[in-house]
Amino acid sequence: MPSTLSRERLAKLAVLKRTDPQAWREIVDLVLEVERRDQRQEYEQSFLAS
Amino acid sequence: MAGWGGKRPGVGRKPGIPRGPGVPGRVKARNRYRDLAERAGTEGISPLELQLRTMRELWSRAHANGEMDITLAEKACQKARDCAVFIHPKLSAIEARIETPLTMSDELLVLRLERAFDRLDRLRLPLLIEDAGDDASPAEEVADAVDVVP
Repeated sequence: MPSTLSRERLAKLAVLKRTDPQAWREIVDLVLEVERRDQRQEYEQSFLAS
Repeated sequence: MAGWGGKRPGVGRKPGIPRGPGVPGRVKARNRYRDLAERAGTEGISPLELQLRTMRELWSRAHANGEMDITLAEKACQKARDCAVFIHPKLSAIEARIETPLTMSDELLVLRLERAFDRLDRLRLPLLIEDAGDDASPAEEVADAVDVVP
């Protein structure tokens, strides 16, 4: 799945992963959860539309 | 029932009793008991101290002859039980609220993500990556960024 993160943010995340793994983990968890909820909403919408 | 609705006789606050938190003469029960306890302490031996001393005396007498006098020991236990509530605080359950992205509301999640992005945007990239520009950032760096296994 393509990430909603821009390339600049992705590059910064890559740096953060090495410099501050805990902060990196927090951001990645937030991003993944937002994407998961978006996907779920799309899935539910597809049922309503059909 | 005598009637329908209206004022009922004998209900409500009794006349002459001051009302409201700012009215003089109204002393909180907590303060009243604290004053009483302080006075009891300054005037002589406090009730708690008396019970503790009695308990210790009973306990030492219960063991005076080498063997435990069960009657005295039981009396000491009674005193101990009375004092324990003032000395040993009861442990109560504490509800721990651990917040994770999974349990956050949508609004809070978005707010946290925005803050996280603000922090991320303020981060300065190392010179090599920054100079290379967006298109030239190494593919493995990008893949590495979202790889959730550190």
